[in-house]
Amino acid sequence: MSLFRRLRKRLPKSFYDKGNEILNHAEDIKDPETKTLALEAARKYYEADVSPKEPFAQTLLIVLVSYVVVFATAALAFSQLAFLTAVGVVIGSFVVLSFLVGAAMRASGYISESSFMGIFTAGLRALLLMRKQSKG
Amino acid sequence: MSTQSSKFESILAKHPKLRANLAALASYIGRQVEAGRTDIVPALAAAGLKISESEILGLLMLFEKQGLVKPIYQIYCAEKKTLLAEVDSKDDISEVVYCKYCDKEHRDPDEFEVELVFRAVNGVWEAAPQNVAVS
Repeated sequence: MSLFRRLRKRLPKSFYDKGNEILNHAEDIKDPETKTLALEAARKYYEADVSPKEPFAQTLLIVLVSYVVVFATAALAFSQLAFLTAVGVVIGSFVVLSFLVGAAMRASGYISESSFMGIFTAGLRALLLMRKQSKG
Repeated sequence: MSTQSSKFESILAKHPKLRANLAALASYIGRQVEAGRTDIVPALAAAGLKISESEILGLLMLFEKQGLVKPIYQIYCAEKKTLLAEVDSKDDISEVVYCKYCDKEHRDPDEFEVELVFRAVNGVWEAAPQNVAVS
């Protein structure tokens, strides 16, 4: 099965609801060993940390609109502001855009919560590193 | 010692603290197979054993890893509540499912339902450990 077909695959909402219900119950288990097994099983059999997928075209449209907004912001910033300020504005808008795109993909069910948080955390670390290096 | 027993003992050796629940589930599966029911529905097992469904799912996963059961995704027509197909993996669930009861192809995923069951592997449970020591 191609990646594109895999991305497009949608399962019934009831299936994801069931997965989330099992995941929530697993979170409440007191015994750590049982809890670990239950959480692993919920993810394995129900993709329990992935919500129902929205149509791919809709998600793609959201991503494209976000990119248009950031490019428009960049164009406006460079035409209206000083170069360094404009660069700052563009970087800032790109960070916000990345977060929004990630959130849109997560909400549409194309990436899991752990993937989204992983990407977001890596992005934050990169920004902090850049800031540290610019100061040093 | 039968293959089934050795596989079960292997699970117990790795998870000694879960012995009571593992034994109860093994016994439950053995009884179901004996009664001619090879599909283990996690929700029913949970109700029967008074263990939460999420815990049952975790235990069934251990059984699956040892080749004692295998997961099956059953696809039902949401409207007629009848079984349309069975697949071994989520990835094999077709995007278009023909329903002979509605005489149409279900293209919207919410027109069908997917239920996960665990099928007792053939020939493994006939000599099931129904009297596993729970010590």
